[in-house]
Amino acid sequence: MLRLPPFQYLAPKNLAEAAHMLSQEGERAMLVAGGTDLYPNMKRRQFTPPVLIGLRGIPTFKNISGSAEEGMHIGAGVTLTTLAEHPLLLAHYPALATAAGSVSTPQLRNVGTIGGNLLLDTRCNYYNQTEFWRHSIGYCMKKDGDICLVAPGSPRCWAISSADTAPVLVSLGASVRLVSVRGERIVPVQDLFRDDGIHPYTKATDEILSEVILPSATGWQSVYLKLRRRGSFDFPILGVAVSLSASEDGTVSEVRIVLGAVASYPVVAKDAATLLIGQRLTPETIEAASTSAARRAKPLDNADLTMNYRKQVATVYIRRALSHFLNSNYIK
Amino acid sequence: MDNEYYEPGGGNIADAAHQHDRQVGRTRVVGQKKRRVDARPLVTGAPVYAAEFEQPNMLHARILHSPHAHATILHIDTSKALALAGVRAVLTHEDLPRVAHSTAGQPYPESSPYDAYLLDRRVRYVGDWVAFVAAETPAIAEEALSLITVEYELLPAVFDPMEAMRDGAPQLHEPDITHPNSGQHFGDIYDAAHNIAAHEVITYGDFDSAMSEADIVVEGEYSVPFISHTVLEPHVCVAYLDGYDRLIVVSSTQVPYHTRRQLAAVLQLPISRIRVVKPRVGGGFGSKQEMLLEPVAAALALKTRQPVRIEYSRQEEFTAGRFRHPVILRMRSGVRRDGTLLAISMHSIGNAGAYGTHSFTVTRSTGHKTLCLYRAKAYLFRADAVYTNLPITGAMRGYGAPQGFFALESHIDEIARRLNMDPLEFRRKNHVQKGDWDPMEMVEEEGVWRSKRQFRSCGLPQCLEKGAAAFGWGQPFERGDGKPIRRGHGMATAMQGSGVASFELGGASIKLNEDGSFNVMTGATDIGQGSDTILAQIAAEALGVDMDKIIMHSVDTDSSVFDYGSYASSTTYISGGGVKVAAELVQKQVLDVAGDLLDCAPEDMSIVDSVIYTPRGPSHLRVADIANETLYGKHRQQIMAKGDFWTDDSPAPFFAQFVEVEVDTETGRVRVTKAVNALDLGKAINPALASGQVEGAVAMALGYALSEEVKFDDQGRVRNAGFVDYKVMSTLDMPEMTTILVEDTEYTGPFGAKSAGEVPTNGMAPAVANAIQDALGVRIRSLPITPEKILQALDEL
Ligand SMILES: Cc1cc2nc3c(=O)[nH]c(=O)nc-3n(C[C@H](O)[C@H](O)[C@H](O)COP(=O)(O)OP(=O)(O)OC[C@H]3O[C@@H](n4cnc5c(N)ncnc54)[C@H](O)[C@@H]3O)c2cc1C
Ligand code: SF4
Repeated sequence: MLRLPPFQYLAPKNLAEAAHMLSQEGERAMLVAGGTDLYPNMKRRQFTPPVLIGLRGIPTFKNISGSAEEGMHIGAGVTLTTLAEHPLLLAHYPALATAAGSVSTPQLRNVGTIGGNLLLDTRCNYYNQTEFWRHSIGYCMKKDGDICLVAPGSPRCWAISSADTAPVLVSLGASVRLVSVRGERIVPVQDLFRDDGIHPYTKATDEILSEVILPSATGWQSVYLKLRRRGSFDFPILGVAVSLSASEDGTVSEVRIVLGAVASYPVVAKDAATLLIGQRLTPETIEAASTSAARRAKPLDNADLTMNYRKQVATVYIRRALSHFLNSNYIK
Repeated sequence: MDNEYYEPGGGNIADAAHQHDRQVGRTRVVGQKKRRVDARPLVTGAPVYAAEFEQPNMLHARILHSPHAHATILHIDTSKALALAGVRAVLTHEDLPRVAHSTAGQPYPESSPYDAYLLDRRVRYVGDWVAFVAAETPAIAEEALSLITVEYELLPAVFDPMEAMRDGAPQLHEPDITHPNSGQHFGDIYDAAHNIAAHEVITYGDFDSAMSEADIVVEGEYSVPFISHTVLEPHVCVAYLDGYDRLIVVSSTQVPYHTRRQLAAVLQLPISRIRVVKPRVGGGFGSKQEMLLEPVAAALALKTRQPVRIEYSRQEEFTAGRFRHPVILRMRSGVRRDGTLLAISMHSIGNAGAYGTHSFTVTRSTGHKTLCLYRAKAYLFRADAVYTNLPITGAMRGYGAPQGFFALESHIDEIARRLNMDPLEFRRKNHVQKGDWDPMEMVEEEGVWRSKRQFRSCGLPQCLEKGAAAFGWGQPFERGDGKPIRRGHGMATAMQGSGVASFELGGASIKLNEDGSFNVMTGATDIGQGSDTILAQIAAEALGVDMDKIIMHSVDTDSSVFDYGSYASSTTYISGGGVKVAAELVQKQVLDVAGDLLDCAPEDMSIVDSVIYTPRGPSHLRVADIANETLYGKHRQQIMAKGDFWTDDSPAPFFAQFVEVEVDTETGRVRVTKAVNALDLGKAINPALASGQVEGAVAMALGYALSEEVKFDDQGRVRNAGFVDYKVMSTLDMPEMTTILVEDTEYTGPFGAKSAGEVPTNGMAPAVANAIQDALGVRIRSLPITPEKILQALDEL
């Protein structure tokens, strides 16, 4: 068994107390929700925070409120199982329910939270390794080293954004509420990310993600497709999230195609969306948009299956995601 | 229709169906789905495993592993580690005797080269052992590891067996290893200069002449990957000194007796000073047919005179445990146009990793256990196991046969296709039949070659018939239009042994208690497969009592009878055979006393459900009354006996696997949607446990077929040492399964039983490859069949 490094565990009873503790402890502390990402990483010594602030005791973090018409508020501590089974989400934000339900295994989904999923550490198969292995290979710049082992000449880290819900929330146009002792702000999920494998989030270290805010679902449809090796357990090696609204005659009025697990952040395929806007969905327009969107997928050899393979099937998955609306009779 | 050329041995089935016939068919306990004897503690999480065995003042051990694939240790400085508070001992190669040995859990003398040392000056793979630490807590032990400084001189390393066999390749082992069995045919390294750990050739008939009669010659090269057992319970053991100053080792092992002997040799202790105890074991699959952590815990316990526990982490299991040999196999066979198989050849090159444990026997089994599935005029099998600077490959469920069957059963499918024959028909025409002799088991006696193994039972025809019917083989099905799905059907057949012919001994001693219960003390090793339950059923049946009268005890080398351990599908057949002998002897002792009391001839009496029967019917005496009579009455004695079983036979279980696959032609993803598994096991002592063995094996083999592979970087370091990256198939990936048990009585086995544990691992991989061929028209000859390989093959169409 790999062992956790020693740490002190603080258990705030409400958000204000948590924010206070976090500002007091500063850089020494990390937040932990379900711990399904953080604890394994700590066992492998990717993180060795002396202090952990547990968010599980904050009652408001488990709230879900709102409606499909006016939008919804989802507490950061809501588990993935709850999301996957929530009737409103299943009916009106199906991509989010699908994504949450496709994370890992039932056991992990019972514990893992939406907040933790959004703020999942980026992944790379040179990095998600034990200390023994990383030591013997000489470390990389994401932790303890100076070079990138995937792209040795690269000045930056290309670790992959691998959260299933991230591309979906971007495609839905969701935002998050960030709270600190300094106050609070609401940020579009898309702006939470930056293109940097080492520092993938714009969230300040003293900020706590308190909730996810979904916009109204009226007029929108959504879908999420995930590529992975097995029916369970695996992180995505490609995620395709699409939200779409169409007018009466079937022309696309708005569409957001977002790719997960192809870069250090969820990649928005804007050009592909532009190709579709004002068009009806047909096999031809879908093919054109898929080819365009797939160009945004630039996988490296740092995840399961080869980079060429992942590149090759990106077009297929995007096409299938878009075709889903054809099959589901996208004109409502 | 049958292949008429096949006649290796001659002669008829030697053993007539004797009294077993009477017993099979009217059993009361055997053949029932009895609850496992250990069910309750296991499902309620009772502390029954070695890792839960607590001792006062117990220390925790950790191992320092080599970060280099090949290096000489110039200097080790342990002073800082020893100075750390809480560290009790640090051992390096300087502190331990340098005893050449094999870690293979095999009978003495092991048929594996003596190329290993507990700790050596040289390390031969990333993960090889460098030093041992014992400390008061696991955390301190781990900190101590980081305080040991080692100066290495790096040596060139080699990872590919083909390269390793070339002249001038880095050489891993010296040829002049001294060991007790030197001079034995397989005791030495076969060719140390070319890194060939073991080598085997088996021939039968005149291969070239048989091939010259062929209308069609089919060839193919296949490869199978480096995979892990992924046992749920890692290797773990606790060692301590008892009140007699003896060394007690509580270990998660498949081979308590072999381990005791090897431990004595390595630590240079008398065997009499060692006692090995096996508690419940959470799976072995061959990875524990090894002495692994026992000498580490024992050496540290002897050094510190405190109890020591050591347990491998999952990471260590994946880097410094044991693995299945990856093999490259070349097949070449000749057939007549009418579908008669004339000659089969297999040439296999296996990667032994850094040490040759099980290399000879596994490599040998790749051909020896497989080619005899078909009748032919001639056979040619050649195999090498080659050292490389990779982790150690050894025994794993199927023991070389899954590798061989992937090649053979893919190859047979290719032959049938070339002939435009239904692969099932081709197999029916050519497969081994009851009464045939094994061409892989030829021995010379007084100048005459004859086979020493006859297939007295063979339910393969029933497996094929029932399996095909349940599956709907040959029936039309929805093939899919390729947009994107295509479906295909595939099948494979397989066989195995039941124990290793001439290399087994097992059984039990049985003792009567005053309440009419019996202690069954067996050396057979229940590693989770349920052998304690099976043996209890056999004992109960043969004694004439119900299961609740049987108290199982396994294994303690001080009190159990000697047993070779749990491997080679031997437990039911060998140890079960011995248990039955013991039970019959004990029953006779009971009836002798009862006969005296009832004035009746013992041979006319029987025991049914603990009641003593005379020819007049049930008597007033029960077994408990006889027990009281012997312990307190006039016939004072302890009723007790032991039974052994050993044989130069190894009856074959047969297996047929049918699968349907669904291939996504755009992504290359393969799903096995339906599987029918038909097993001839002679007799299902416990049908529930037997089906469990089959379904577990099929599930395991699905990973072999589609996804499992230990990957290495160019320095020989494992890239996927954990369950996130090493892809074991999940519940959701399992097909809908139907399991059919066929019982073709094996008259030499207890109640007609053969074996069930390994043979079902052999069929899935070739059946999937064959079904993919059926679906797509492409042939994938290397495992695992990843989506990339499918897309690549489709591209090349
Ligand atoms: C075997 C395995 C398989 C997995 N498979 C998948 C998968 O398929 N898809 C997938 O997306 N993920 C997967 N995961 C990752 C993980 O389980 C999920 O992403 C989960 O949702 C993380 O949530 P958590 O609450 O457990 O996060 P934690 O581990 O508690 O936290 C993760 C990170 O988020 C931070 N954080 C958590 N909550 C907050 C908050 N409210 N405010 C600020 N920071 C916060 C933590 O400080 C930490 O840095 C897998 C993990 C494992 C171990
Ligand atoms: S992308 Fe490069 S720097 Fe980033 S984690 Fe992987 S190897 Fe390290």
